[in-house]
Amino acid sequence: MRPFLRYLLLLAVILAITWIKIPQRYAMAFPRTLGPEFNRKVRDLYINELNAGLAEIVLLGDSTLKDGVDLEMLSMLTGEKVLMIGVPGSASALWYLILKNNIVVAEHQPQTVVVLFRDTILTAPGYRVQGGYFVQLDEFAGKNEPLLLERSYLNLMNPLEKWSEQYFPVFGARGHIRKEIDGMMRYTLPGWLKCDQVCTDDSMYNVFTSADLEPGQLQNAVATVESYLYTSSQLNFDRQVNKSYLPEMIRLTKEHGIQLVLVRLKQQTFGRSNSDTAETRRYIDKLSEYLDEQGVLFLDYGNDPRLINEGYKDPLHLNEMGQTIFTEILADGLNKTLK
Amino acid sequence: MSFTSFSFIIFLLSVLAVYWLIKKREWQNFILLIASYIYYGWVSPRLSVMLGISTLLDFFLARGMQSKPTRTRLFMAMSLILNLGVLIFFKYYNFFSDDLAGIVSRLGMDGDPFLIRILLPAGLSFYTLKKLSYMIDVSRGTLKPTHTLMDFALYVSFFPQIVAGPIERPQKLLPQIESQRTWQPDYFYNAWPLIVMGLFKKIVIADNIKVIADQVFAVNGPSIFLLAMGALAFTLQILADFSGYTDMSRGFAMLFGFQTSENFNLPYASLTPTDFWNRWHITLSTWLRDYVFFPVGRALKKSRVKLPNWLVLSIPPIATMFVSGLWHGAGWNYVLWGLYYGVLISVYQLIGIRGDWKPKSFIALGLGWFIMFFFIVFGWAMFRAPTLAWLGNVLTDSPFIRSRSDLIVGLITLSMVLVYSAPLFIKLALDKFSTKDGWLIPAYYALVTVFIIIFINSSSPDFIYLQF
Repeated sequence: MRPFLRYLLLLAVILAITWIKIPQRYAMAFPRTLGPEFNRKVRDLYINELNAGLAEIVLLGDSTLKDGVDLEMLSMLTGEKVLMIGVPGSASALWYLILKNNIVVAEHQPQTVVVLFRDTILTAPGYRVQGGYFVQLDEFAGKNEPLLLERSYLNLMNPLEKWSEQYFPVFGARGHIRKEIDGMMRYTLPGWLKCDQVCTDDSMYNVFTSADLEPGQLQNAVATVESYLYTSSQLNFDRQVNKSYLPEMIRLTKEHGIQLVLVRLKQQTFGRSNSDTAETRRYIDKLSEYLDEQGVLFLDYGNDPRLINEGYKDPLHLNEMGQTIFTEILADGLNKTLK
Repeated sequence: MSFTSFSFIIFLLSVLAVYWLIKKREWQNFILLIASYIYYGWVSPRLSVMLGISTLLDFFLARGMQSKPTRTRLFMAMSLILNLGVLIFFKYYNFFSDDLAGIVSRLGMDGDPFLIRILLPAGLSFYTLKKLSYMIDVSRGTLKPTHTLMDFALYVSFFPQIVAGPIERPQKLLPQIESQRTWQPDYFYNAWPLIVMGLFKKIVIADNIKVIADQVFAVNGPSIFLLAMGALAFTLQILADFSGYTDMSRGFAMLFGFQTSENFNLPYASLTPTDFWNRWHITLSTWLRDYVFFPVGRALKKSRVKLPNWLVLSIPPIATMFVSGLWHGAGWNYVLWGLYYGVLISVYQLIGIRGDWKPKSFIALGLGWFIMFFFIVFGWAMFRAPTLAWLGNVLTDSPFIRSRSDLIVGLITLSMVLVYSAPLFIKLALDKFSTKDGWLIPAYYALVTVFIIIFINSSSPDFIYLQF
């Protein structure tokens, strides 16, 4: 019993010290507001591109869109000016922000916004919002983004986390503390070899980011990350839809007279066969029903036999051949549905 | 439901509260059994159904062995087919074909590939070995089968152990399940250090060192220096991950009044490969020793064919470690990793270095440790490599250092290994040199707790051994 009591006592002392020191060191006030803080500035990159290019169709998606669609070819096949907003590493939270803070506030608004997505990504508001993804979100977020805070952050926190974040400095400041520890580990030894922070970061980039990745490992990494999208809760459309940005994206486009088209992409994740699992099928059927009720057009290429394995360079991204095939399929789909 | 998740805390506290409010042993076991099936079937209840059916069959087969001793061999064969059949089907099918999802889908199980590839094998390898040890011991007559289905089912499914061990033997766990348990404060006082240390190893060390280890092993053709640093990182990661999980498992079991087995005893301090396997994943090693190594050795001695002595000495460890490799995973690198240890054990034995070798000279001791540690790290590189071809290419084609960037990243990896392993060395020193009744150990645990709070994530990566 004695060791435990001593442990409790010492823990209380350490926590008391952190209560005083942490707010001073990181200039943080406790109790603090829940969720991350966004800076005031909103990037207007796509507002300018829309106003300058006068595009009538905007394609919105992640890197799979960038690799999957040949912009010139699509413009030619649809006879419309097309703007592509394919942000690598983006997901529904960023698409919502770009739609809300760039597309619908542009002077020239497009007639159609086409969002290209994979399976449950549209109703997974917590996907790709932490760490490096936050930086990307912050670029397009204003100072006050209550929906973003609620759906991508607060809704995902359990009560204990919420309480600790607000009142417990060690927990509330853990991001800062971890960054300091990481910096110490990352820069100390290279510093002895006269390699400063820039040199160290460049080295990390050269070795890990720009190097070839082993295909099997890449596939495993993708499968691990994407497996979040296939948990039973994410596959429950009824549970997720009102926690997601989808209703708001529909509302925004309707309000501005923009036709929203949702396009489901095919993927090769998990090396699986060409058909959906029963749970994914159920989810897609529900999504389709919902979009139908909302008057949103839905093109489902999730199981399209024309997109063959040879058209992919990795589980998610199309290669040149796949891009040509998919651009034709998409143009055909858009021409049929929009005209 | 991971041991480090919020839902698990709620689950554990609720089960503990109900469990200790009930005084009757049968009801306590019932609560634990229900909790274990809920825990195991958390992601998919089908997993629990499969566990329940196989438990039921083994229970009756063991009873059959007792009531009809003449048919013991038949019942044992049926159990082996059942247990190994299920294990081979779910775990090793991918080894030969990559379309398990389709097959299972045709069996009406939806064929969710994530479930099949990642979750279904979770725990399967562990509880299969638990059941097999029960069945083999009953068939040998060294264990009397239990007459209570609930007790047997709880032995198989006991939730602190089901996902990743320890692989408890029936002789140790069943008597505890069958005896009365009343709350004692010592349960908590013995459990908390294990739980705190387990959380620290998992959340602070394993989950963080994993990031750099994963990155190194994802590079196509890293330099030998970078591979060596990545292998060192993985060496630390797998120890912290697995021993952290075992610590938590033992701590949680203790909260319910159960004493479970230790699985690690400073494995990286080993001087020989046999010594390593006596210290690493001890419950698996002893299982393999009793049910593979000894029987193979006995069979060779009884064999009419006279084999040379070196072969008689070499076959049992190689066969045992081959099985160990296969048990760890369906992949050629696991097989080779197992065979590698089998050969190492044989070679050490043949040159006269036994498992309990401990030279008196400090230099020989240091050299012996260094060589063995090198073998361990190389073994983990083999184990973690994406493919054997990848490892082969690195070892034959890659330069020692490719560029200055390579050197820098190698040093960062080394620095992470040093920083994250330091708390383990400090703990070792405290356990050895400080008094148990002093302030140093509680201070260490208090600091460790603060680091757990700092490093805790709402989405902690999965425990590595889940995939075995």
